[in-house]
Amino acid sequence: MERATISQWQFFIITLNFTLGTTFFIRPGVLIATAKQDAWIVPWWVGAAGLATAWMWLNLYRLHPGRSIIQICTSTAGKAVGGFFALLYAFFFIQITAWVTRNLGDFMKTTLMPETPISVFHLMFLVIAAYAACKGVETIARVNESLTLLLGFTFVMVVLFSLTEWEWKRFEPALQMDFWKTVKDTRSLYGFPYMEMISLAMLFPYVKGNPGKSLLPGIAAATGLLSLIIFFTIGILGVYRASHLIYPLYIIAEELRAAPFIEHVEAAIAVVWLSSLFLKLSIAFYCSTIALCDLFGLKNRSRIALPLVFLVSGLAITIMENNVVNAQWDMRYTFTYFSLFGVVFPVVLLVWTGVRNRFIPGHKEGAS
Amino acid sequence: MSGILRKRIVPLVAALAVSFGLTGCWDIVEVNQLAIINMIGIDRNPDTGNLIVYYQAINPTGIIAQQRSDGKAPVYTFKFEKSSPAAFEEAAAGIMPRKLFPDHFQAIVVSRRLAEEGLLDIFNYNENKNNRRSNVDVFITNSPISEVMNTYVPMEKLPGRSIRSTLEMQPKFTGRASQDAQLRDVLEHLESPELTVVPLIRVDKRNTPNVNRLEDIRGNIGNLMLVGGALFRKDRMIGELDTERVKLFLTLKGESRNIYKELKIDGHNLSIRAENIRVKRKLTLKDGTPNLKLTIRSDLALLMQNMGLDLNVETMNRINQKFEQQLTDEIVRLMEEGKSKGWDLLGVAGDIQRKRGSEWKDAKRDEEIWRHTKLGIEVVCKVRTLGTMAHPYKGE
Amino acid sequence: MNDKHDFRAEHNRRPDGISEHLADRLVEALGDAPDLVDHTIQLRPSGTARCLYLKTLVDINRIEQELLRFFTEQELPLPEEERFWEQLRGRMPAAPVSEPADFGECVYGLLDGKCAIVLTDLNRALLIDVGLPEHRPINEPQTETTVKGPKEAFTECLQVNLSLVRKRIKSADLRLEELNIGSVTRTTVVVAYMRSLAQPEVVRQFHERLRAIDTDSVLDSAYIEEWIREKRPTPFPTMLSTERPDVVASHVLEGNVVVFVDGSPIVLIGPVTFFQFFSAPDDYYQRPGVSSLLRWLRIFSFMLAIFVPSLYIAVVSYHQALLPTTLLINIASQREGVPFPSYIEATLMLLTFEVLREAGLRMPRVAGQAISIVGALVLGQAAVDAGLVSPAMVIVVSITAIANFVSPNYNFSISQRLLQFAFMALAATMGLFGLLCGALFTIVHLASLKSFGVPYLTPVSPTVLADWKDTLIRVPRPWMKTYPQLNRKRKRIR
Repeated sequence: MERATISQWQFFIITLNFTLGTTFFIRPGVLIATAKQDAWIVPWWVGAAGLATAWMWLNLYRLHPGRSIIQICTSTAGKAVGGFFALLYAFFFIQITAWVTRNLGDFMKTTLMPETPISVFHLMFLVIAAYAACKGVETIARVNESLTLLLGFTFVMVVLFSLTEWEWKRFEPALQMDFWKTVKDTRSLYGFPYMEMISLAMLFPYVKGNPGKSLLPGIAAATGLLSLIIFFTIGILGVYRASHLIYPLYIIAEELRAAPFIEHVEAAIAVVWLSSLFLKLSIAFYCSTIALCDLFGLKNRSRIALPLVFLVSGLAITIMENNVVNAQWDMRYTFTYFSLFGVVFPVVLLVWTGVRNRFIPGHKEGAS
Repeated sequence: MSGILRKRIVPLVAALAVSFGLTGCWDIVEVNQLAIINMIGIDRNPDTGNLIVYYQAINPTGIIAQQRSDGKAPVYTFKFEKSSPAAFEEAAAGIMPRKLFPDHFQAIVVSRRLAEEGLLDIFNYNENKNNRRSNVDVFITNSPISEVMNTYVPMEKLPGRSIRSTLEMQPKFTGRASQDAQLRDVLEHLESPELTVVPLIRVDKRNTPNVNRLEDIRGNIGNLMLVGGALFRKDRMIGELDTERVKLFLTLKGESRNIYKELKIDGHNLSIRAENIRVKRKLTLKDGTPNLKLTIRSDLALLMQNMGLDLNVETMNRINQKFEQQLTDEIVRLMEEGKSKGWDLLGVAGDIQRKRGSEWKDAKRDEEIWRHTKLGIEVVCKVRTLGTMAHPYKGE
Repeated sequence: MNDKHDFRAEHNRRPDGISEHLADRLVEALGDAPDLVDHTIQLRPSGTARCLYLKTLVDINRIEQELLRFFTEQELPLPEEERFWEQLRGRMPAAPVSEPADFGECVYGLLDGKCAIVLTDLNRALLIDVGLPEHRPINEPQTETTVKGPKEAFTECLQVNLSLVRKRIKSADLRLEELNIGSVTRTTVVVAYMRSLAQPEVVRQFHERLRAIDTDSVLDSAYIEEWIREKRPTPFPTMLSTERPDVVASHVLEGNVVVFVDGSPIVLIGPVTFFQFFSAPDDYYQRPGVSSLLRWLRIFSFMLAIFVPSLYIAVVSYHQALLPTTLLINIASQREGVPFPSYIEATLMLLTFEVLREAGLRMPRVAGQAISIVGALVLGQAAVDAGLVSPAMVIVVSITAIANFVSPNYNFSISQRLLQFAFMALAATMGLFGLLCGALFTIVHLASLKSFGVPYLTPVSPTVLADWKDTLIRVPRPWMKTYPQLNRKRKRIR
């Protein structure tokens, strides 16, 4: 654990970037295919569920102030059992990192540079993420801060320009969906991105003050933005095309012609997308690194970071064969698998902590 | 130990890692190795059933040479015949000395006979490939594709850009074509019962397919002309509309804002331009039949009149009335013609699909219900612009 | 101090134990220097004294008029008496008089521009400071010119520089602390700051780092800069250097710490943030709206300088789909017949430009004009005509080169050039993706950089909204009410 602090605003930005980073590009196509014109409403209820779960994590943190989730595991349940849970968590974080990396490689290979071997993309970004992780959480927070403004501005510009293609009738008929069926079909949204945010619990100890003050607004803001983006995608591209494309936002930017010379802004949107992906990657990578450091008691992050680069890049290739396999797995298992780490384990830890505090008198959890 | 190790090992690993990048540049392509495609023509060979594709590639030095009025060809056309769209890139590599670069193509021209069969294959292939984009203009042609593709056009160096520019001027000035005639707009309606109109072009038969054409002052000869519209439902062409009907169709859809019309009052001819046309549609259900109420508003600009009439208030009113009546008649006639051919030209079916509410459920299922539409039309127009003359010359 | 000629160690004596023949030994110690002047003065009523000084270092006028007159024209009490010293001190209040502790100090005093009066009978010596080394008169600044505003620049003389700053800040709060650095050159280094404004932590760091300097020579402030800068390798400068006293004064007034080095017209300022490298002194002398626009222009030129060559390479070699069709056709036709791929072209041209720039610096001024015209225009056009490069490339290089010069700080423009070449290499291997990686890496690096404890990217991150009034824009003076938080404001309101 390093001595560093993140301000509330920085943590808000971190939460926002971590939630939206890959989501806003990959999720809209799938959601629109499932929920058609009303897809923009879906994030609202999933977000509400996500907020509730986050609130539960915050409660857990309140019982163990100053500890990251890994440390909570080991201190609550002892070295063996807790260590096992912590190891699972560490593996989960590494998996998330690998997923994000793979998203990057897929995107680059399908759209912009198809001839390059996919590992090159992975390695290049991972090296920079490792560099950021070695420099520490304050660096990552500052990078987040500086880039977010720029990215947001560019993104807003692109969206505004594409409003020339807007047609309200793409939303008609509205509110036609079968509610419960849609809830069931879109439950994977809960897993990715909301349950991934348990990784952010690694950063709670660094936040100055109560992390909830910026975590919850961050999740809410991300939900709102996601809904807005899906809304725009439907309005600009239409349900039919959006549901058939993997990267609808990219196609919107590709076909944009706001003025005769403002064409081909897909480069700008690709840069925005890659940068936000990098931000998420650096956070995820950092969480994985310190998870391992905490678990094995290592002080020097850089000794973990470099080997982790190779591990993650290898994992990124094997994590899924192609998009079809991924889509299927996503539909079926994301919800349950991710909720295991986001809901089940924290609940178990909460209960365990409650039990210990009550039945073992004098064994209150104080500062570490 | 770790300190020394760090000083030796890390730079070594870093150097190794960087050297991997040196093998790189996998995606690098020199600009001069590209064959930049400007226009694509697609046809089907009726005998063999294969697809014939024409690629019109730009000759960069030819373009520049044209600027200095040398006589080099600005474009070259290549023809290939294969069974599926995906095989063309491979075929092209056999003849063309440069890599096929379709990212910048401005127009696709499809032959009528292929359009009538359906274009789904081509659409799918286009969307899937990462280097093709769907905001290109689509054209249908009655003329033989080979003639279209082998035509040099005056004024614009690139034929593809020429017809694209021609097309782009239409929505603003003449209303003959819509902005939404790109590939992606056709794609959007692939599953809906709405009809779209794709521009129809033709080549003037008297063309000379070589550069000498460019030195001929006659602009009409050997040029690509916009002659109407091809009606598309889903992915195939179902019919042809002439220019006037295309203008009307697009006006009712709301995609044409300005159209040129000629009126006759008391045997005199007037030329007016209807500007800023706004159409409001209201579809209601009465006794199980759809009722469509159209409200059309427009400003008129008087271009020429040889009525010898004074321009007074009474004349203006007469012009307004005449326009309203003529437009109403034309719309009713259009609808009837459409019905007789099985075309839902007013787009009622599409509107029905977008309605909410349980009373529309049956209507949505009935595919032919649009035929029973009762039409109510209201046209409101005012002459606004007159030109610089207060009274026309009367002659003697 | 690592010193072969450590006179102190050799002759460590008590104050009143100065040995005989002091004056001779002094002459010998200085190696019979040709500029050492050795007078014998007759004292009244009796006795002799020897007056030794290095005429290259002292103000001879003062020696003649004040010092020697004092000694020769009056009836002096005997030196044993206290009155002697009082009178002496009273007679020459402007020149500090001191008695050297030992022989070594005496020698150093001579080398420092003091005049040594050796009372031969008593074997006592006095050191009187009448030093006035030669220096340049105050000129206009060479590298940081402004349209409006003062046009004084620092010179190599420490006293002059200090006076230029002192006269601007007439506050008792301005603290100056003197150090001697460099065992052979014994350069005087002065640290200045406002006691109530400067962060004590920063001042402490300055002191620490300066005291840790262990070297034999300090000839310029750049030497000091290399010693006290951040240890982490970075292409970006972590201290600001300037030759303008108004810049120094304004920074001191905001709570920064400055370092004056004797013998150098460049003064160092720290801590500094990334965004301060985009503000020129002119910003504060022009109207606020104009300066804000000019700042944006500078930031834009910075982006241009770094990204234009690499963007050109990336787009032309990898992502031709991103160009408008007309441009693509133009570039394609231009490049017909050019033998090199675009990244080789770009690298060659930029290297050539760097060579030209170096040559331009070394050229005698008369011939320098010829180089700039010949080099830029003719070479560029000739290269195009010879078919070696394409015209678009010439444009790209010209834009880059000119954008490089927009930066108000010379150190920073060097960083720009380094980044430029690094990005070009990345763009040549991996196209836009490589360029993006480079940009991200730079941002991470900037975010992790600190200048004397202050994060380099303040006030963008950590976000301090109040300081944005003077970063990307410049608001009118009446609105600048608070001190920058970069120094953790100890006072809020100006």
